[in-house]
Amino acid sequence: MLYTIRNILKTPRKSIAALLGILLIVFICCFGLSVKRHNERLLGEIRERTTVTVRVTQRSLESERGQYIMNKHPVLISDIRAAGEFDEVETYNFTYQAPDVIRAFEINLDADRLLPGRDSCEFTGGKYLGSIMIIGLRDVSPMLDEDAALPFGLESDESAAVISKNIAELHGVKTGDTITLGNGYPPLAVKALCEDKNMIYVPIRLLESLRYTGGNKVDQSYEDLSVSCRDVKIELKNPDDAQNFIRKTQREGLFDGKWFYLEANDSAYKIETARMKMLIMIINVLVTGVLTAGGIVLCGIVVFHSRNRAYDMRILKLLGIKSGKIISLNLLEMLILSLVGITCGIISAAIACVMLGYGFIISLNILLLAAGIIILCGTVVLLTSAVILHRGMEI
Amino acid sequence: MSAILQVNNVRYDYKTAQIVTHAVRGVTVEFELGKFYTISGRSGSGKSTLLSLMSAINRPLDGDILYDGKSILSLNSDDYRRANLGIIYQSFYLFPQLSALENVMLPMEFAGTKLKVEREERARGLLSMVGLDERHAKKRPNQLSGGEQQRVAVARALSLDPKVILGDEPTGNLDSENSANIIAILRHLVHEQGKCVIVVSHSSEVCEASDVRYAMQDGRLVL
Repeated sequence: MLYTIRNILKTPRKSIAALLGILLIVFICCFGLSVKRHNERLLGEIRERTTVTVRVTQRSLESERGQYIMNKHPVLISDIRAAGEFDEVETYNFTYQAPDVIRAFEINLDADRLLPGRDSCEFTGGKYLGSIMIIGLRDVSPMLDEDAALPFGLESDESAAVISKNIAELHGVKTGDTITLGNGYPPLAVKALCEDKNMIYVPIRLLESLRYTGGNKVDQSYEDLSVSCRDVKIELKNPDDAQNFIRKTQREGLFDGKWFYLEANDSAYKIETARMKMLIMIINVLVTGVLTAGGIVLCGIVVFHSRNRAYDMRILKLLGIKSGKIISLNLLEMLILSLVGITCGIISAAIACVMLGYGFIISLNILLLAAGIIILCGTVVLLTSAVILHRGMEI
Repeated sequence: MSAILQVNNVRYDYKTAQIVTHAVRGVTVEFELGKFYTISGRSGSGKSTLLSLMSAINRPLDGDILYDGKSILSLNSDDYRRANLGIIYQSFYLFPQLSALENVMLPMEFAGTKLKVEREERARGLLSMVGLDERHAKKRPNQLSGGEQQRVAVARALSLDPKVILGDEPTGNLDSENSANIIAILRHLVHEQGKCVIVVSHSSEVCEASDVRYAMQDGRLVL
């Protein structure tokens, strides 16, 4: 110990070089981490007082969906519930548009296999994935535009169908003809042609009856579709999650962007926190950079320091001091330098932080940084000393 | 008197990628306490290698070296060197950051002499014995002349009171006056303190001052 302390004190240049290297790295990292922590605390406070709501609203369906529900697509309760189960969600609520009034089955069919009457009527999903939809309606609701629905004449006739003009032209079908969809469907009489492309409208009763004929022909339950709603508000736990939540719901197939707007009222929050987040990001980059570059520089300093001790190590070896003892002396020296450097770095960072009003506490990150530096220095000293001792014993 | 150090048919080669140099070829020799030995020879004759084998810095490829009847190969080389040998080198090998006194005290510190007063007293005595006073004791090696540095090195070699002193060209960096001083100190150690001094040297003055002279030639010892 005496030898080590004497060595440190009597070779001030070498010792100060190592000390300063460690001090500087610790200072930058501790200062950066404290500023980051300060900003994160402020951000947390802003988060606490900020409530961000994601609102789901229906797009107009007039151009794409025809008039069957007043150009409105129902927001499915099942989807709202599914979204409500995401971790990000605090609460959700919605207003019923027309409780228990609109009842619809939506079935996609494959047009290529549908019209020739072959065994082709497979239901592939309740969403609008395919190119042809069969849509049935029952119970004209107050929301339903009677003028739009009645001309189809589907309420009374279970075997009626209205098909798109383009399908009719493609297959040479005209009003009054009978078409066979196969797969359990009875022959359907074409009552009218509609302008909507790739559509076949059939009565809801027909679809309901098919549901119970075995086979998974209708893939959404009647109940799920039995209530439509609008103005869905989903309150999130963390305002930072808003955009991710929107993407996630769309990725999961809820609230298809084709049919719904999803908007989060997080713009004020974003503006308020943008600078803080930027600063945190810069500090993260800075600390990572300092740790990477500093680690390399520190290794260099320690190797240089150990090499400066090569002459001393050689003398000690010639005096009959064991290699283990010599290495432990070097380790002790570096440990002392590291501890002094780390302590000075932390103290100077603490002073700077307090003076600038950021506050300072010894966090786990700072302890990990200190431990990392000690381990790095120790390992490098150990390896360098071992190599020097192995090489340097020739007289 | 029985030999303190016996070298029995020792061989040592240096190997590089393509060349094998036979530095020491079957050397057998004995060294006794109370005698001053010199080993001379041209550069590359193997004399320094023989010294490094005797000081257990290198291990012989063949043969054995006995210290006080015990093979040094069975001992820990560091322990053997620390406890039994004092080694003096041409380039002194002093710690530049320590004073002359601290340099002499250092081996005692590592050997476990706990009391600083005790270490200091012995170090001062040794420095005094080699002709260095209190003024010199406080100086660092770079503040001393070559001769004074070598005297510090001799004092340090004696700090743990070894029976055998090995010298590798101890006067090689000194002028004739300082060389004479060092030779006188070594002779004093042999004849007044009964130590065995083995010096590898080119110097004719050193050889003439010795009791037994050996020469090395092509790795072999000749009288």
